[in-house]
Amino acid sequence: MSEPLTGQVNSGDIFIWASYIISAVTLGGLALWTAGKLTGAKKRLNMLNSHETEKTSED
Amino acid sequence: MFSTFANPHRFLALSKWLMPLFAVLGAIIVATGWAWAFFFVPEELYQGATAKIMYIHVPAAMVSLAAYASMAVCSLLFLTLKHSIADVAAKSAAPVAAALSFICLVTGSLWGRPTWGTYWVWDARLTSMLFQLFLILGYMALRSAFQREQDAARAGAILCLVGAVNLPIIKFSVEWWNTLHQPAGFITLGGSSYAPEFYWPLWYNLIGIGLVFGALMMAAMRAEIFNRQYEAKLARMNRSAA
Repeated sequence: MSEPLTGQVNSGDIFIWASYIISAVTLGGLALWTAGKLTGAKKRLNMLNSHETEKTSED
Repeated sequence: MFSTFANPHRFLALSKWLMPLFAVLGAIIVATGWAWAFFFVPEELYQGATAKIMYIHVPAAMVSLAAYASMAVCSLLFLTLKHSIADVAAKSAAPVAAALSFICLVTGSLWGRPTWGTYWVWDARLTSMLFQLFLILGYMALRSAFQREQDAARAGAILCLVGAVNLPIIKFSVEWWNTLHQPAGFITLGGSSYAPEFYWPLWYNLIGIGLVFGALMMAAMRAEIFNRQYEAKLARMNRSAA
């Protein structure tokens, strides 16, 4: 039996949940990836800086 | 004025406190904004509860367009003024713009299924938005294809500027063509057609996503500047050792 055509949307909870979950995962993933990139870049530069300082003091 | 802020050291000093501020504020606003929309905003008369998807979809769409526009402006500044920080900004905005375009398309599709009866139609608004996502992914792929950063920056900037022609197409597609996607109603020249109980939570979420974009872009810019400083220092050390 088909539902009467009222022009109103009466379902869609799964789509609402899916929208919020997918968006949270995408933004969270991007935030983690960016934070990892920033930490890695900072660490690499600090290592080079300390290596350079050691070398200068040895010279 | 741009030259004043285009100094990497000045940017690093400024973003050191601005980035965490944007990140914390953005996270709080997005979390509370989504909770507001999910639990407290009333159901819309015709769309029912599915209208709650709009509190993610609309801010993601608007900020992704703004992100691409900022990439285009930075690309133009890089090509004309040769400021490397402009290239850093364009490169750093790309992944965030891509993620927001993806969220916009997915949430729009998930809203379309119960409302329109289909996940996807090849109408002008949806297709031009999908094209923007491909354009950003293409921009990122093109940049990574070059060995020299200068070549990558120039090629990326040209592609980004050419792709900027898509921005007005996305914006005005719902007016220029007969589309299934509804015309703009949130922010228009004649005022908003939204009732206050829908209008303010949408603004709140838009500010939250804007702050998150700012924080992620600044973090990515900082990482890129550190990487470039590392490469430059390494090259200098290798030269002096040779």
